Amino acid sequence: MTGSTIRTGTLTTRIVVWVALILLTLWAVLPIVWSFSASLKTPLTLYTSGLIPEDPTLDNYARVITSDGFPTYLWNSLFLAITSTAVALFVSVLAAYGFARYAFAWRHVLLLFILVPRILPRASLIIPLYYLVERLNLLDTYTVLIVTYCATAVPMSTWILMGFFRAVPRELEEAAAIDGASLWQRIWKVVVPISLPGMVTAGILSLREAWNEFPFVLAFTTSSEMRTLPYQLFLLRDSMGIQDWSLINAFTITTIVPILVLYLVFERQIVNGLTSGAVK
Amino acid sequence: MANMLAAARERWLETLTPYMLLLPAIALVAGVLGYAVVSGTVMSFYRVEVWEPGEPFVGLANYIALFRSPGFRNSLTVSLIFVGATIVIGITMSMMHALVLNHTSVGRSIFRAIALIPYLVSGVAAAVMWRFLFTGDNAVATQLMDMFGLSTVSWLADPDRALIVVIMANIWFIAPFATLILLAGLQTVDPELYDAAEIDGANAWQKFLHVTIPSIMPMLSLSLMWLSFASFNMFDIILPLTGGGPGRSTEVLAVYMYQLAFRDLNYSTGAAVMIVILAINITLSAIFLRAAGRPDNDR
Amino acid sequence: MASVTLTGVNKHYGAVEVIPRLDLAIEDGEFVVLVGPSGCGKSTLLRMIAGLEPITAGELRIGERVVNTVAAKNRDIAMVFQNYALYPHKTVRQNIEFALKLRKAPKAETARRVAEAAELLELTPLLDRYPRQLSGGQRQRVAMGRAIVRNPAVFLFDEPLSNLDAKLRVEMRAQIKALHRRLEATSIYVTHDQVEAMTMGDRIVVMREGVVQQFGNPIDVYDAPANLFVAGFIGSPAMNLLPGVVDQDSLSILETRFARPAHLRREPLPENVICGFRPDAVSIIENGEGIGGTVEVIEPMGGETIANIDTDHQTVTVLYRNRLPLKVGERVGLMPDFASMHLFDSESGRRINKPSPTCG
Repeated sequence: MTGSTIRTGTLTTRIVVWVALILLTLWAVLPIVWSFSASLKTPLTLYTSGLIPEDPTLDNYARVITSDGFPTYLWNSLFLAITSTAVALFVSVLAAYGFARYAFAWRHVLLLFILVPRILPRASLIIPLYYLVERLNLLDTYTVLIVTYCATAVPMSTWILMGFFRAVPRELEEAAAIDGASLWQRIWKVVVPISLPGMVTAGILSLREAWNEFPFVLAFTTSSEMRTLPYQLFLLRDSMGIQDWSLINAFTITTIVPILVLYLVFERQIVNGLTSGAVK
Repeated sequence: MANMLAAARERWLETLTPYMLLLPAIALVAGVLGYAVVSGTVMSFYRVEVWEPGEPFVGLANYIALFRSPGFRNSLTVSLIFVGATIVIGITMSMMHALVLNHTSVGRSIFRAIALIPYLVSGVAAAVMWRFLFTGDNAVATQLMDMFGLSTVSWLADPDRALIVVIMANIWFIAPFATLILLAGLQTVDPELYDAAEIDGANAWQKFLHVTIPSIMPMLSLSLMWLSFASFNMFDIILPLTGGGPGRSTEVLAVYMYQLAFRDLNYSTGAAVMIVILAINITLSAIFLRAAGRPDNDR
Repeated sequence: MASVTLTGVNKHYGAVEVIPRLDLAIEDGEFVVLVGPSGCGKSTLLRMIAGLEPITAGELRIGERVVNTVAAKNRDIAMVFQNYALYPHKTVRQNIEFALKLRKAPKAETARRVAEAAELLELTPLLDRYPRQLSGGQRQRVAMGRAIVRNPAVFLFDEPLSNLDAKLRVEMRAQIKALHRRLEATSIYVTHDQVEAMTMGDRIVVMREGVVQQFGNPIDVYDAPANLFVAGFIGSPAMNLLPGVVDQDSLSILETRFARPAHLRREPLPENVICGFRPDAVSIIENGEGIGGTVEVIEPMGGETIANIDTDHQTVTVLYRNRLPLKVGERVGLMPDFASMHLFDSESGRRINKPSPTCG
């Protein structure tokens, strides 16, 4: 029997709760809504009209898409996000399977070794890494970005996948083994397909990190050929002279939309994946 | 299963399998993150100059210089205010948000989905949007201030107010994840406990104190951990939003370190700042893990 | 000490009516068990009495006082929960004294009452432990202690034994009864287990879909179930309910004709009836006589044996104490004992051969 009085509450409680909920929800969306609204205005009406644009136009988005280098930045962002996520998932699947299914010497230490770097702030690593990358002549390459993105994505993906892999019944694998499946086949044909929600969660979170990444691309690239969308956005807002806020806002919204769509489609899985580690 | 396979395979191969599986992950993490930590530590004891050959060992000289520098002490103070304010306001807001989300049954999943949206946005985009909120005569913030009869000086030009803006943006950016953790915690609280407390005569506040808080203690400390780490290391929001300015009023440690290394090209002292940041992080996690009493909670 | 009276009590969840309209009078000091399958509204009813669930309409009295809008804490009740609901971060002592502390009872008084309750439940050596350090039975006793210490007018129990293993359940059953005899406080006990209901209740309330099917002392309910539902629910193994056709001087059960039993000869009966026989009221006789059937399953329990006999129409359960040399697959005859037959109207499901006892 659920539905205690604490859930329904008196009328006053309900009103207070709803007011608080609406205020907090507004707080969460207001900056985005305001930015979106501005992206639909012309530079002339930008500061004069309110939240609802008087004469909404998609002009700014056209200007973003046709702006110099935009296809390059978009491609860089996409390519880096997808490649690093694919590599990170591959590596994490193996590691997560190892941790989930085997008892071995140093397991605990290795697990900590994989997980503790998660709390290393990415920004703080850029100095020694830059120094290394510079000497290896790898500045302005995809390689260095993919490797560093993977290294920061692997700990989290491993952690999420480990939880999902543990939940796969051993009997299924034993049945597959009796049918003649090798270890490799058991991992990719049995465990991974069953853990698809976990793969989706880990994949989207890793995509999100790579798509939004800023310090590494800021430190390890200089050429405009290598810029990603966030880097270009950073430069846009930092540009000299009068800032074209209509354009900047359209650019901002453009960078947000892809990850937001992915999130809204898989919201339930992502939330469950994110919280399962915290609650168990 | 192990027994069955052992019959078919060489014993030593079986023992080796888990290590083979872990190898790529360990190599990546050790090669990039592990290397960075070790190399950063080493760098902080040498003088690395971009234009000069040779890297003399200087012992603690970098650290001594650092602790004498007013820029570093300023950053430390700014960081402490930034982190302290974020934790206090952030945990209050996310607790309230989680409580009201947990309380509503109508459209809870929609409101929950919206609540997490800031977590999806990049730090740069968040910073740019917040900058825009405080830009121009028509800015939302300016209008709100007008409503309360407060002065409408540009917030980002005023050192104290710029710090407030940065803190608000930071809370907006990182508190949603804390909300999510707390909400997940609230959903695991045994509803019978509330019934029992109701019959025992507890009012709403007493229920919160005696049932809710103790029941979600692990999630509460996890949220606090997240808020303090994320804001202590925050870089993505501050650099694009204020660049550390005006003056040095919002220059937290991470930004200070970046400027030191990439603007002043002073790598060694930058590395020393990195070690200070790491040391503070490790101390913080030790404190939180002890408080939480559950060392298996990562992330 | 107080009576509990429900008059025209009604409960809706939005448009769903959980309890249509219910009257129930529980006397002072009585131990009443609410029993029924899950979803029958018994827990909702208990939670309404506790004040955890608002009452949509009707009147609830504890003693003389109408308590519909009185908060749970002011109803002078205590409750024992299915999962015990012990505060995990409080010690046994803190759990037991929590209600008194919230009430700001004097310290000495609190200590005395906690000590008394602990003594009564043999919890004294456990007072400084945490719930997680206790066994299921010990937790159960702490939950009881928390209720006792309040010295309430009414005790409410919500399936308190369902999480215990079978042996402990029997033990706790006896303990709760003994406690009730000692404290003599009105107790309302919810369970889905009819054995618990039979053994513990002074009176039992059989519920189904929010409606009281029968209210009476356990033996009366067993001996004269008011309708088909109660007949099937109370008693284990369950009563055999076999369709019958009545005419002038015969009663056909499963298409086997029997003479109309003497005590029913003059009673007006509908044509279609359901005949209820407890498993021990059917005997196994030679094949070719009575209702024919094949032995399907034999379950020897030691003292008694339960056999399922497959007639062509339905399976009949028979319970016997003599060691019949039965074999699975064997053809046998079944002879019901008409003297202890329960007759129900096949349309309304109501009992027809004896006057129904008080029906809520």
